[in-house]
Amino acid sequence: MVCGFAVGMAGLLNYFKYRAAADRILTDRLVVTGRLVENSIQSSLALGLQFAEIGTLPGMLDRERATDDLILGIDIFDTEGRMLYSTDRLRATRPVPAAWTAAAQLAGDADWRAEEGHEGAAGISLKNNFDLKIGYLALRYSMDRVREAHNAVATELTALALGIFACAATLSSLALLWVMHRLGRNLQAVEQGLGQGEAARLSARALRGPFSPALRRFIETTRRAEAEIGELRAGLGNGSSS
Amino acid sequence: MNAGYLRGVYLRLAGVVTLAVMMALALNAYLSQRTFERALAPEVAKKVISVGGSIRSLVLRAVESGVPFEELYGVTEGFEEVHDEAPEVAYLAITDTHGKVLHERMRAPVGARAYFGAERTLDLLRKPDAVPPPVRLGNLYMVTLPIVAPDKPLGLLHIGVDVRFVNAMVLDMLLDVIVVLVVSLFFTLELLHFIAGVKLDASLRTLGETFARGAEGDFRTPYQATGEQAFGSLMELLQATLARVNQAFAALAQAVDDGRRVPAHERAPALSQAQAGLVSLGQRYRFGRESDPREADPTLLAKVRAPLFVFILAEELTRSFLPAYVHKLLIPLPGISPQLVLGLPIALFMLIVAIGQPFFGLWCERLGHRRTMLIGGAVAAIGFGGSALAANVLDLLAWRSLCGLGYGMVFVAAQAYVLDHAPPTQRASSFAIFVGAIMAAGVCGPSIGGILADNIGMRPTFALAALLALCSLVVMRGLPDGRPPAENRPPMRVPTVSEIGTLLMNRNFMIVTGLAAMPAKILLTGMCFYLVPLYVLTIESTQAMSGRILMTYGAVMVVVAPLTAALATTRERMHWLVGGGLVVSGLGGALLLAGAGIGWIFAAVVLVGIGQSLSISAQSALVAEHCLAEIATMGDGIVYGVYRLLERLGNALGPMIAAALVLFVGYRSSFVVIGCAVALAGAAFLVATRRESARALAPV
Repeated sequence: MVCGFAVGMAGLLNYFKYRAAADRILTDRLVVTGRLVENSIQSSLALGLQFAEIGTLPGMLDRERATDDLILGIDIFDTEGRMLYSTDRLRATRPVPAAWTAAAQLAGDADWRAEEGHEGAAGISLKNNFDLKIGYLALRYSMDRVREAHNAVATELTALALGIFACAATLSSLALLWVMHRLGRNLQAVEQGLGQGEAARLSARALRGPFSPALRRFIETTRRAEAEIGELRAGLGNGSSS
Repeated sequence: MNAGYLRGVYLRLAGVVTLAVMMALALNAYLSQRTFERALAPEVAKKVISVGGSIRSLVLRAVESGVPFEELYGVTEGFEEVHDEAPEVAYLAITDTHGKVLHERMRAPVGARAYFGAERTLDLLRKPDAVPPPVRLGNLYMVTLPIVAPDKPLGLLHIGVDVRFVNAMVLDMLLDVIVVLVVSLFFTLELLHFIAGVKLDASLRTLGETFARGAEGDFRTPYQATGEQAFGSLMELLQATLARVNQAFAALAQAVDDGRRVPAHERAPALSQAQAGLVSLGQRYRFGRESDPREADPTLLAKVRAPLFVFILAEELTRSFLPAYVHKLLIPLPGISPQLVLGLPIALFMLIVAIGQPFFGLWCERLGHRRTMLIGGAVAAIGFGGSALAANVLDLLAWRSLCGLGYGMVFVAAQAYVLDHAPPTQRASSFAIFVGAIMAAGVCGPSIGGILADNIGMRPTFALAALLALCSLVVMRGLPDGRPPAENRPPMRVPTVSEIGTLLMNRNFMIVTGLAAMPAKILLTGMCFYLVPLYVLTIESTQAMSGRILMTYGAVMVVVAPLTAALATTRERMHWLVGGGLVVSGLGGALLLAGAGIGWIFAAVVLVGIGQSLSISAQSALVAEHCLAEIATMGDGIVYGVYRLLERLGNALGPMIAAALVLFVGYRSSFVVIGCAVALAGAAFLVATRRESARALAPV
């Protein structure tokens, strides 16, 4: 049980750690693409174009989406949650998921992540050249694919933990049995010695064992006390005392 | 003899399990680390490939627009942009179909030219969609992507990732795996102690004691049955032997008594001799029934460790992320700066524990340990649950107050439990159970809390703390109800204002309390509980890192405190340990003058841990040394009560002082200011105690 708890807990914490690291790398991977898009947007804004009217942006979003097979789509929406650009033409008319706007607003200037059904989104805030927030960019990816990767590692870690647990439990049980066996033999010798009732009649094994001095003293003292009590009792019964 | 042998058996059994667990954890850590490397390295490469894909699509677009591949313009600037977005990219180059470098940014690694022109590299031009595995070149991992236009291959894009980045990531994982290993080990030892240790240790001890009792002629019946024993048949045999003698004596005593009841002329002639023999037996041997329950059940004392550990763990779980959580719930409070508000929940918690302590003691005396601990645990569980749901910082303050209330009750009741159940001669060693549980929780809690907060979030971690507090209630139910009779224990009372005033004006008392105990606690809570978790986040690190740092403090305490406690044997030494400890702790804060990175914070916390370990045992012992007259007048309960009150007020002041300092001088300087002030307090303590010694030695 102790081995199972130790290995199980370590496995669980290790899995948590893996998931955090993998998610961080995933976000970094998506965000770096987002940043490159942001740089392009800033260049367009510097030329005097309006944020909602950058004609080259849809094409660029399509190209960037194709750079990484994890990216399902790239969406850009303004600070009020209106969708401005999307690689998925149908999404352009739909409202931005509430979870995205909430996560984006909560994150402030930092990167953010949100999940909605089977899709996850990693996002950044978009700023103009005066460092003013003009909107957000979200890179959508398949949560199922991410979960699949996580599950694969979880399965590997579980198998690892189970194997180690089996080895450790067997090893510790054998070692415990060995220690207990020696103790058991010594205790058995003591039991037999006690059964003899006389210190002088203790078996050789009991005499050799680690309990020998204590057992001798125990038997001698109890015998002596019993003998004295018996003597007094006998004297009382017989009407005489030695 | 056999006490040593039986102790050896226990240590061997515990050692075997611990060794097996350690080996299992080490193997698990090693194999997990390899799994992580295998699983994460391709993910890092995919990020680079994604960046490469962006560059490649730009290049292809330019070529489609009619710009010759060899004459692309602004590529180096594009590379610069990529480096800004992905700092781990340490080299970028575009080569033509023969491996000749057309554009490059940053320094090429050794062997780059040969690699670019190698047949295997150029072969990639025939596979436009190929994503080859990274190749190690010098201190870079090189990822190469072919650039192929629809009509012909153009060249290759090479992206070098700094090996140090990958190593840092692997090291970060490794550190956490080691943290997990240490935490799991501490947890396991606690579990081992809880499941088997208490019973096995007690069974072995009872066996040894039964032998010793028989050998010494102590045939008394135990106060209460000791329950199921690990060595049942032998114990039964030994106890039956002792009981047989005890019963024989009782029967003899009864017979003598009966004999004395009859008229004198009818009495047996041997009655007076039997009576004399009975007295003689009573003088040499012990018969009858044991009276002190503490002698009878050695497991009682150890029973408090598990619930205390689980409960304290619940609180420690929140240690590494509490300031960050408060930051998340901040709302503008008129007239109070956000920095001060960040420190409020910690300060309020400490204040409640400090002020409540004498009252909790009284309550515990009235209700008993078990009920006080159960109520305290339940109150804290509600507090943790509420903290998990808090909508803003004001909510959190209210819920954290409940946590403080519960913590104070459990702490005081557990302390009283140990005092009540410890045999008077083993009080100091029995306190190891209490201190050990707190220290083990201090090692495990912050690190696990940090990992959990990073992974499942801060609110769920608070919920988990609530669950742990509830679990502790289940274990607390196993504690005995009521308190043992207070034989030599003076009735508890709250110190009066005049007693507090008298002690505050007492020079000897204030040397220990004002110059040592309070500064030590101000440094601990101000620096470790407030500054470290917040500062670590400001330098772009994680809550898991702050958990690791705080775990280091606990681990140093676990290792060093028992060693230094053994050194505190004379008053002179105690002075040096306390003063020296404060100076070392203070230097921990001052260390931030040398650097501001995570490594410096680690070093600072290690110094604080060493310093606190040096002073912690000697400090409270010095109260008795310095205040003999006051203890004689007011009693040690009052003197120590006021000492603990002031010490814990130091706990409450720490975060407030740190917050005020951050407001004016920033995080890094706050470490330095607190550290220097505490080091100065330590120096002042040493000077004051030197003078006092000199005065004591001066001829009258």
